[in-house]
Amino acid sequence: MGLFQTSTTVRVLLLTSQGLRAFTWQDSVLIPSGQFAADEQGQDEFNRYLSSPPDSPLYLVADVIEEDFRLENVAHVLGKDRSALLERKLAQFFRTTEYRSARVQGREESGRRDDQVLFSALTNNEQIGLWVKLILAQKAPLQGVLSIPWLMELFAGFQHLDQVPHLLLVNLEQQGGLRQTYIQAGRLKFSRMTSLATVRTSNLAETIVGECSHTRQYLERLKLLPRDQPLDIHLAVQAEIGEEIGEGLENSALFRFHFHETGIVAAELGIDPVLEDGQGVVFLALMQALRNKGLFNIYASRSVTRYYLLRQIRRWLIVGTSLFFVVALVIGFSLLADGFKQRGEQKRLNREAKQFEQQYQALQQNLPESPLPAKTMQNVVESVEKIQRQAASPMEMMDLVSRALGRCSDIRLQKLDWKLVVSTSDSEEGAEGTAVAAQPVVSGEVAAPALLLGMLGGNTQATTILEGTVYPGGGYLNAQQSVIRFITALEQIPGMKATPLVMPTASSPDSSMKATLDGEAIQAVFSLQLAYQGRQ
Amino acid sequence: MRRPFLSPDLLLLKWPVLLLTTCVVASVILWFGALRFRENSTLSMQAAQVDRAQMDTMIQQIKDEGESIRSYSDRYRHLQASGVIGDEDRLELVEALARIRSRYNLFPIQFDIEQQSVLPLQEGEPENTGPSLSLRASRIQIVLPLLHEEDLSRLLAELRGLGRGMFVVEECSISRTGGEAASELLKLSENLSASCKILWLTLKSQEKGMAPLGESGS
Repeated sequence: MGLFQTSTTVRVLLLTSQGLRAFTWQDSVLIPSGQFAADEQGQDEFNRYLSSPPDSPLYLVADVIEEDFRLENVAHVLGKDRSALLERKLAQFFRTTEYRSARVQGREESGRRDDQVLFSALTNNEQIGLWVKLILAQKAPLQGVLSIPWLMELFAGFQHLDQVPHLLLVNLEQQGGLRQTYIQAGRLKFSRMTSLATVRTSNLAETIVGECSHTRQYLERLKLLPRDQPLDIHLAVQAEIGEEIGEGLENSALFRFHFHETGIVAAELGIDPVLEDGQGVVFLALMQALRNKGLFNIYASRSVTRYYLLRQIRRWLIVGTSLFFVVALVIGFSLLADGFKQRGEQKRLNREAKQFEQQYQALQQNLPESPLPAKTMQNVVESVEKIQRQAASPMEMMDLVSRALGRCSDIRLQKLDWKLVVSTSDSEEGAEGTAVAAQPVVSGEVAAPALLLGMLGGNTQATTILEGTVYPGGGYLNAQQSVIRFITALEQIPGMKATPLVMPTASSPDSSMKATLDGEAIQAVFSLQLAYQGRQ
Repeated sequence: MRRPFLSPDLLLLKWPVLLLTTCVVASVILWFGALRFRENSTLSMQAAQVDRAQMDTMIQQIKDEGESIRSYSDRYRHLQASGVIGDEDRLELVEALARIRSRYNLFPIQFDIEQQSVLPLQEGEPENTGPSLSLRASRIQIVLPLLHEEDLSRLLAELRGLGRGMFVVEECSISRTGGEAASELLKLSENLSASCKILWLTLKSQEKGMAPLGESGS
């Protein structure tokens, strides 16, 4: 067997009492390829036939008288129990042959509903064993062993006769035998072959009727066929034989004859009648079966078909290995392709990095000279500029106050306290018009570094406290109004907020008020807090 | 139960089994080899990505550095020229104050320069490879009588223009010392008294373990 050799051809070995005929099924044609007698020479020729190519599967089809059928009802069991039970029954019924079969064909409709099993066997073990032994010796792939009755069951299906409740299929075989196959609703129940060696053609119709009568009696005895039930007898014969026996076969209450001319059947099945010519209905059934689903195994045990099974295992191993290897190659090459793609990407990135490096070196060479690293220099400059922006001057406030004093000649300043302080809340600074905004939280004595931190953070504020008097003092009301005028003058400066801390007179209902009215000028002292947002 | 296959029969499968084994071995070698190759390629590519990103960052940094130098070097040199960068020179300040007093005919000036405090400016910065930089602050308390507030204004303006650092007024208190204004208008005596706290700020950059920088320009 070649390692990668596969075959689409099938070889069919037809076993008869005269010997073995070999056919090759190829390109939908069944071609005779040898004939072998059961003697030593025939066996040698058969060995040569088997050892020559093609190494295709073999089917052994037995067309022999020695085939037994037995219908039995057995308990309905499943699985291994059923196999064991059927094997035990087979051994009991057909002890002398290993070519035996049990087929469950249905179940009883009532009672225990036992399984209806057809037990059958090719009872001449030696006749078949001789050829099977030669096949196994050559390790040829024997796929199955079956017999003509099973082909007839197929043929009934091909002819759409599988619905006929009681069908007796009759055919005349080449070696001069009359085969009757009883098929009940499409299922083979019984078959027998009668030799016509001593029958003359003129008596053929009479012989057929007689044999059919015997078969009917047998079926009635087995209760397969009710007594008054007409039996449909379908004869598949060649045209000339049909003409000869047609007149002798008359329908009756018990028999209804139907003729199937093999030439017409072949034409209906699409088989070239020339190929079929003279081969009979067996060949039609064989060819049609091979054309459709193929043949099947009935009688061969697994040890007989082991080389076929090995061949299948070998085939699936090769197919599986091929598929596995293809998948492995696809995955492997996909990974490699991925890797190569990434290598390509890496090379591109390396090229870019090299270009960047050159660009970097060029930039570095063209970098302007600097007394300090750029970051440090930036830090120095920004820090100083931040401080410079925060560094307010008291002179600015003094100028503003002078401007307001110019409009209030009766106000005399005694003291001006100016401070640069860290304001603790930015939001409070922005809330103009409130007392809180005018009096930012001042953190008292701020050490220089703390103030510096405030300046670097941009949250310092200049506050000014003015102390002064109203001159000349005049009355309480006049002094109070003078200070209010001064406040108004101050607040006319954009960004200036003046908050009185001490007024000449505490006139609010929330505070206590003391006054001496003696005609002397009053001491009109006041104090204001100024906040100026002009520089912010 | 009969065995369907005898041992010699199984020899018929030797070539397919050998083929399968060879294919499996070859496939495994191919897979592992290809996987290893891909892993190595991935690592190499990732390393190249990191290198490229680093170079990209370095280029950006050096561009930024160039921009910074272009943007800040003039301002830095101006700071150097204005004496902000460098050591404070107290004696020079005293001399300068004396010159100012003399030029503007000011009343006697009392001053007190406190101990210098230091504020590092680069604290917490990740890049600390360059020179360390610190802001030095000395508080000066000045007390002087004034004929007019202009005296104080001139003093402060002169200090700013001295070119010996930054002078930031921290607080200033000006109070009237004379009697009635009307009676003193014609007298050239002190009318006001000023007391100010001024922060004298200088910046000093110094390479770690090296001589101070920035002094050459000051």
